[in-house]
Amino acid sequence: MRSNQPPAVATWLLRQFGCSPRNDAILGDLMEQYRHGRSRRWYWRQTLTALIVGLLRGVWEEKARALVAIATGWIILVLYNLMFAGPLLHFIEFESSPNLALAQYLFSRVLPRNWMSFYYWFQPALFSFVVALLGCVVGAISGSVVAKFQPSARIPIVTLYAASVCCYQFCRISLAIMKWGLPFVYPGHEVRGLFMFLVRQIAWATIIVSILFGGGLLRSRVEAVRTVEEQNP
Amino acid sequence: MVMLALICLGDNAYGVPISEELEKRTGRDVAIGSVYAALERLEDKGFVTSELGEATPERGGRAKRYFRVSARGLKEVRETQRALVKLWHGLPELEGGKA
Repeated sequence: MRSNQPPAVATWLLRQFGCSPRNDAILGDLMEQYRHGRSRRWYWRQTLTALIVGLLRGVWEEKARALVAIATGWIILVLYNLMFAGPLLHFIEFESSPNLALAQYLFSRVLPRNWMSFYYWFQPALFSFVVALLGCVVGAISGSVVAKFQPSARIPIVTLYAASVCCYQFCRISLAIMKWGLPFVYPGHEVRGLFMFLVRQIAWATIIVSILFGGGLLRSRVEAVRTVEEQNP
Repeated sequence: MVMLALICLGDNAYGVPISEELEKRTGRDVAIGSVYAALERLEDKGFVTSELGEATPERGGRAKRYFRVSARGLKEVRETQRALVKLWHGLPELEGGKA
């Protein structure tokens, strides 16, 4: 039997990221139609269309400021990558890092043999965690800066900025896979390769979430909900 | 098209009936988000006015927003109709239902 409640994720997405000034009315209309027998698929399609239309309209109305805001956000991320994340990620690749190879050698002389798994699993994960943590701070700062450019169009501008970061990472992975094949297929190290790949993608995902957080998009939005009890006390 | 739907619906013009009317007239699925985008543009131009209506439990407690065509909007509709009729008469290939 079909639930009387519309898809919660779709409703949450529209409530948080809906850019239309009439967002509450749209949510109400969608819920009313859903309860009159429309399908879940219809509800999702309507939600996504409302999100995209609102986003494009919001950005278009402030296109000059949106462009400057998104460019500023990207400059912050590029500087962070050049100054911190790049060198740190290079350091993680201990096979090519003489410092870590030396450390690995020294520790192998001091620590018991089975402790070497630290280098194999935990050390790259630990470094990736540090990169993700730094990325979160930088992502939140960039999201906050982007949001301040035009507070009235904060939601569409920050959403587009986060979407552009998402697209960039997706294109980067796709190009890398096309050029060098799957990044985790190193003979004899498949599981570790996959693990490293996933850890890095999680690090990127946390940056994207922190951009939304910094831009104030994950705060609960106050809806103009007027309950029936309020109307008819 | 949205303005014509509003005129047709009269006092009961909020998101659901407007999109249903458009679906009925065009025979195509209509996105509520696009309808609201058009209504907001028309409202910015002063062709349409809106006001909050009642909230019902089936809408999750959210209020309806009723739209109405303003006097300026009605004038614009009439002018557009006149312009379209003039254009139509200027195309003899389309007169008499022949395409």
